[in-house]
Amino acid sequence: MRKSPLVLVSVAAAAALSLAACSSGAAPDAAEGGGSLVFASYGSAYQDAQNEAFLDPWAAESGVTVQNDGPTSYPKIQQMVESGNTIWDVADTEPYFPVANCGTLVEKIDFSNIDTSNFPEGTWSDCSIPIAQYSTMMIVNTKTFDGADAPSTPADFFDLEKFPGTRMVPGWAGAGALEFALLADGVAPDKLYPLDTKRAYAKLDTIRDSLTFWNTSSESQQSMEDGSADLWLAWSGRGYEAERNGAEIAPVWQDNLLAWASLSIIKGTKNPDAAQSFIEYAAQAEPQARFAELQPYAPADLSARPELDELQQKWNVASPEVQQQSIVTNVQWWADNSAEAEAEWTAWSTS
Amino acid sequence: MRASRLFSGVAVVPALAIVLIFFLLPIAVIIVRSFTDPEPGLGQYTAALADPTTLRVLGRTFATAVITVIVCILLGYPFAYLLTLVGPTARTLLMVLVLVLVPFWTSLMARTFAWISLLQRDGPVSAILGFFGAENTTLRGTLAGVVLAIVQILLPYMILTLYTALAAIDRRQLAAAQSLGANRYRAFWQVYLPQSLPGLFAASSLVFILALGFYITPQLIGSPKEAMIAQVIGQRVEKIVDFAGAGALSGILLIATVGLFCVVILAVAPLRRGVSQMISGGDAR
Repeated sequence: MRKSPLVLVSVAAAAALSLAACSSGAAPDAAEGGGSLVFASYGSAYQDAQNEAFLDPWAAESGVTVQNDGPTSYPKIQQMVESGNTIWDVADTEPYFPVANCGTLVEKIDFSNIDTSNFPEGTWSDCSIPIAQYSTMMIVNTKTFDGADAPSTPADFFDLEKFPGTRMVPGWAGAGALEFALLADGVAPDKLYPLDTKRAYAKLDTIRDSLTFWNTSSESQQSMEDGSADLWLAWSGRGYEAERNGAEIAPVWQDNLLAWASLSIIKGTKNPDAAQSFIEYAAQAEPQARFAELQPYAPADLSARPELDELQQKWNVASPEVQQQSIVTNVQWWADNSAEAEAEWTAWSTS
Repeated sequence: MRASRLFSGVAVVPALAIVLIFFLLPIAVIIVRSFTDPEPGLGQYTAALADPTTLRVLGRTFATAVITVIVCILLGYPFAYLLTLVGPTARTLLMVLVLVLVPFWTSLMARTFAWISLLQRDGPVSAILGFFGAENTTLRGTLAGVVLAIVQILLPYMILTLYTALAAIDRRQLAAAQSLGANRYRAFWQVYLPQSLPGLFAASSLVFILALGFYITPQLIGSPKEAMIAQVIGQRVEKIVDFAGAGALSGILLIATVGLFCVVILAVAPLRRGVSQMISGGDAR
């Protein structure tokens, strides 16, 4: 029984630790004076650049104290809204999310001070604004395929006879693999939606044994740098970063699937004025140009003129010749069908 | 004595409170939700069980856990046995240095990422397999790779639990058996092994239950074809934001695990009775 005090101490220490852990996760108090804003995004260099380009200058101007959190998580957002305790004020989400949950999980935005005329058609909604564009696109391992014989179309991506090798694609439905499969199968870009998912899976099944999947975009970048696949369907920004780190890869722009970073105000925000003010600031060309110089994402406002270096220019999805070959993802279809599509993907991918 | 017993009884209260508030309560909330959302009833469960994906992935999860347990026994039993044979210094050395405690203290994430590098295409493991004639074998994205990575993480649990049980077995019984005419093989098989079965069962149960819940390792090492139930549950929460459906899947896993254990315990009960009778019966005579 001489052990008892020791047991008590360790139990008390565990209790204290867990209490400390909870309190650090609790809602931040509103800062005095200028108010506060909690911004949730996807972390790493991406969120750092969002702070440098958007949040820091806006905070300096408005006097609001900004706190960062993340990564963005839809179940977390739902829990916040359901429990009436919204901790995040503004969040970076996939484009379909605010369209699917406009007015229920995210707030309507007041567009009276926002100029949407320079955004590509279909990239903004009642509940979201785009701050940057990127593409889900085909990327070629130039160590495996070089010169004029390299694969250069979605159909080539699915041609194992001409181009044997491992293909890496996103590991969930909403990230472009279905669209890309249909384009490869000959569906015209303007006839893509509603997606014929049966046909898409049949096409994907033709290369099933050569497919690997990435679940986070950093996995896709790592794979490009390691050369652990021969073809990728991945994000332009990750292609840029991989090549900057020495990956031997080349972009294929035909039928690139245009997507965008989308900001929304979380339903029930305790700082609605600060959130609206930040959204208005982030929708402008100037901070978007600054962001494009820091991160391999093009401004969503096509009038923005960032100064890009050669490699950034190579992966720039806002350049006119790329935009001509882009296909804008139909967020309304995804907003309406995301749940079924993801369940169908899980059923297909795990079998 | 009584006062200090009371004292340690009180001391355990904070730990119980933590388990109750941070572990049992959230589980209860999720399970209740699986029966009430969107309407009260078994709807989520019938839907989940009618989905062939659930059953396929659940079956695969149990199969992966069983294979993991078997591999852990094959690797862990001889090691734990060896630990009971050597002296205290060598034992400490074996435990700390040789693969038991050092990996036990290294983060699961760090080791899983290390396995990605080791198992990937043209990685070191491919090179070694190629040297032995199995060319172009990539274990990443295969069941073998997933089991290897899980075994490597769970093996210390098998060895440490098993060692405690094996150390309690009186090795003089082996000498006694041999003096009564059994050869070494038979002495081990009939005297030592049966007495180690309760410990082996405890260690296997621990490894099996821990293996059922693996998420990050199959996610990073395996392909979706090796996906385990935790990944499908995670997918339901993260991508579909379906707490009730995910709760039903968790409930099914819980019920299936408890059910399986009841069956296994009933099946091994006669065996364990036999062991204790053998020991106590021997004493009586």
